[in-house]
Amino acid sequence: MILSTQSLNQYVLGLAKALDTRGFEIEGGPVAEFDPTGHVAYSVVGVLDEPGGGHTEIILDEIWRPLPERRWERREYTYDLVDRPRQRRRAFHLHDRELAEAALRAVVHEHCEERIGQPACQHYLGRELPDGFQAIDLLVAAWLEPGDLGCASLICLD
Amino acid sequence: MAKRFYSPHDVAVLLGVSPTTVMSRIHDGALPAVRVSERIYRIPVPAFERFVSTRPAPSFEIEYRRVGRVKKLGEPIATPADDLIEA
Repeated sequence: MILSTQSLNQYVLGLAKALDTRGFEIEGGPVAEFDPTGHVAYSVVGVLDEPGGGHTEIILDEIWRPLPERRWERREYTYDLVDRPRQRRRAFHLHDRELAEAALRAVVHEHCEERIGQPACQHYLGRELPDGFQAIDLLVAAWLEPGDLGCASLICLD
Repeated sequence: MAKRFYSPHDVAVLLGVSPTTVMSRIHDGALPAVRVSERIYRIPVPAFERFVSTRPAPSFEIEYRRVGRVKKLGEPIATPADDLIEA
């Protein structure tokens, strides 16, 4: 995924807006950290207080690297749903590309925990998500799922 | 566990409009919904509540911070170097 500087800002603000329209409170607004290498790490956290107590979080983190001509490439991402009322977690990750390929034989992986902290598998085979909007759709769909998350049907990489 | 989603029919009843109107709002993006199958949609209850709320859309701004090094994402992956150490 490659965006211009202006489009990248609009994209990140769009992620916050998408979480807001789904009823999530955005904690502190989107945050961007940048370092001397030129990389920028964006973080957008949406929190949903649930009527029965507890809260659910959707955490969107992305790292972008600069390209020539004021363009940016998304290099890494972690998109997480932490559903505390139901004690389960779903996540889509692309981080440490080279290490993941060497250790897991796959650049992208997913997490799926029917019970938080008790995964049947540490890393599941995943597919690269085109953007954070699709991640929001998938994570909200997981939150809506009344039955199991379906972790058992995923392919374990460990 | 509190109900987490409505059907388009539920929303139509709650709003006093037709299901067709609800589907129009889903398709134009005003009412977020999850498509479960070709003909089945689920509207998250918080999204519906946000849709009917009078609270104005917040104006988000990105807070930029300079750091020594951007954070590492995700949990550590066991490295092949672990095999070297064990060998």
